[in-house]
Amino acid sequence: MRKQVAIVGSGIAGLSLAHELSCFGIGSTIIERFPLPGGNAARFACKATDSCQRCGACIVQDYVSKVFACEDICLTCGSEVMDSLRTDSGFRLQILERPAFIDPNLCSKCGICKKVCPSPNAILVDPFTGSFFINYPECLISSDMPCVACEQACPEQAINLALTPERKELDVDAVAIATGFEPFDATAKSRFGYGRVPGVISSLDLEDRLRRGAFDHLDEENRPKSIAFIQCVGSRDVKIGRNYCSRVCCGYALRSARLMKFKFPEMKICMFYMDIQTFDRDFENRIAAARREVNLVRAIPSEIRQGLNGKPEVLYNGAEDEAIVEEFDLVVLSIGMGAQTLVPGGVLESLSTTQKSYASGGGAFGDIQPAGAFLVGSVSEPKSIQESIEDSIIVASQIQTYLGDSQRGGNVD
Amino acid sequence: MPRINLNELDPSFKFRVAATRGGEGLQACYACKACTAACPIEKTVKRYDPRKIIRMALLGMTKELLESDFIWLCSSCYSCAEVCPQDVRFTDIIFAIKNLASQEACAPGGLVAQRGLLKDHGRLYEVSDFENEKRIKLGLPPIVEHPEDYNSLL
Ligand SMILES: Cc1cc2nc3c(=O)[nH]c(=O)nc-3n(C[C@H](O)[C@H](O)[C@H](O)COP(=O)(O)OP(=O)(O)OC[C@H]3O[C@@H](n4cnc5c(N)ncnc54)[C@H](O)[C@@H]3O)c2cc1C
Ligand code: SF4
Ligand code: SF4
Repeated sequence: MRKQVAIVGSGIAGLSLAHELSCFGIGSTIIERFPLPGGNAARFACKATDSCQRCGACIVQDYVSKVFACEDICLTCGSEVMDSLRTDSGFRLQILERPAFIDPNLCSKCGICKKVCPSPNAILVDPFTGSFFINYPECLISSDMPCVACEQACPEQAINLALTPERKELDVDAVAIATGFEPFDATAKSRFGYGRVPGVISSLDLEDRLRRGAFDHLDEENRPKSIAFIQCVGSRDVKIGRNYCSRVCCGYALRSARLMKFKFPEMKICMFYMDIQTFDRDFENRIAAARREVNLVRAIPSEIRQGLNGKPEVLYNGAEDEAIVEEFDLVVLSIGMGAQTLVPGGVLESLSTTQKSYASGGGAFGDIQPAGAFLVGSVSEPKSIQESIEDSIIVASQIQTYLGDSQRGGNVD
Repeated sequence: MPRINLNELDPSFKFRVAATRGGEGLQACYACKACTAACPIEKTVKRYDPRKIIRMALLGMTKELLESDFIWLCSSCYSCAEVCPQDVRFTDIIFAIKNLASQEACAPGGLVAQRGLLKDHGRLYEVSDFENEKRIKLGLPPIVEHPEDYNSLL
């Protein structure tokens, strides 16, 4: 019988693993909690200036298309592993599959549902098709409140909130955990003013704005004229239990800064850092190029506060050690990567990461990796898109070896 | 800026500071300058710069630090310790450096005299008959000094 692998999470790691497994003739089911595939990286904007900056954002969509086109892969979005057991041949998973409350084929993308919804993040837009979908955990129904506002408002009758989740059982030979990372919650570093000082946003917020073309739509008057990037927010910080480098932030901040400078050459951009760690062979050249466009300041501000005219003010000491209070139109906090806290249930629960193991780069399994369960992508430690794909290639061949071996052992099928 | 002669530096100094109570965090510093930006003393006295003091200790500028007047300027407000991502606890480091300076008889005269007063009287001002007579008039008990106890406390 054909081998089946369950992949929990459809970020770039889960998608590329499914693809690699299909090349070995191994089938897979991807169980994704969110209504859309792609994970964190699906939110990113293309950073190409006059040439590609190799940020990797477009790769995610390539893999989504590959996975949709592949017959060996079953992708179920809006589903979760509620429980899991070991069986003689592998694992038995109890899966809860949530329906798509908004039928994408009927949705006319008018956005009326979003306007009437009382919960700000419950109705979101699929960035690629433009149709609307319900983000279940934020929807009032998920907390047992009888709201039907969107269903009644939809002129196309595309919304059916009466649909109920289905429970399914899935027997698989192996499981791969690709649940990814959780972006750092910048409110935990309150002195940087996120959520408190207007004009202070996180790098993920910036990705959203860049992808929506938010800056292009602003007229020159309202467009930010100065931007500060603050590095290492939620990384290399013993105080909050994150004494590790997130690896991707210097790179993505520099790419975003260079993209902004390319689009709006008059914009003044400052990047506050303690070290630049891009782990790149071409480091010297890239830094030299960045220095021509971005003012790289080696200082971490002590505080970001709201100035008298409402804009954020950054307090830091400059190159000559002079104390500076500088006003910016926009401050971007380069948030780091942390352990995923959404864990699958049952035996898989014990495999999931903690912030401590994430910090040590040791991954989720502790000392012993249980037979038939694999970790892939940024779930075990900070990884870039490219590194997550490379990891998938390695893990796919490990799974193939494992399945081959267990077949020879005669305890499968 | 004065030149630093590498041959005159004392590479063991950082280990001495780190081995002194409060100085443990010294070698974790990333030189990110957040402490300097937060320090209120640095805003008025430019010679006093927490990050530079850490660099001086790491480089082994023993003499320049221990004999300086600026290490005594810290107000112990802990603003630097509050913002430091590496939990270096600079306030405790500057205490450690001051303790080392005292051990090497580098403490400023005024401070040494204050320590003498503390040792003898348990406070920075001696309570004499003049004050005690006033206290009795006000119905307060007189203050009796116990120099032996202050000594054992110190
Ligand atoms: C601000 C920012 C910018 C970045 N920019 C870049 C860049 O320019 N270039 C680059 O290479 N990298 C960048 N990165 C890193 C990049 O995001 C990661 O490399 C990539 O997302 C890792 O993919 P992943 O599949 O391991 O995890 P994720 O993208 O986190 O995907 C995990 C998936 O698993 C799902 N999931 C989680 N728990 C469960 C569960 N219990 N059940 C079911 N599903 C679950 C999640 O919903 C998600 O879809 C950036 C990171 C950040 C924070
Ligand atoms: S804030 Fe901490 S890490 Fe940064 S320079 Fe000061 S002591 Fe060093
Ligand atoms: S404790 Fe001392 S060094 Fe630290 S900020 Fe306050 S005055 Fe400056």
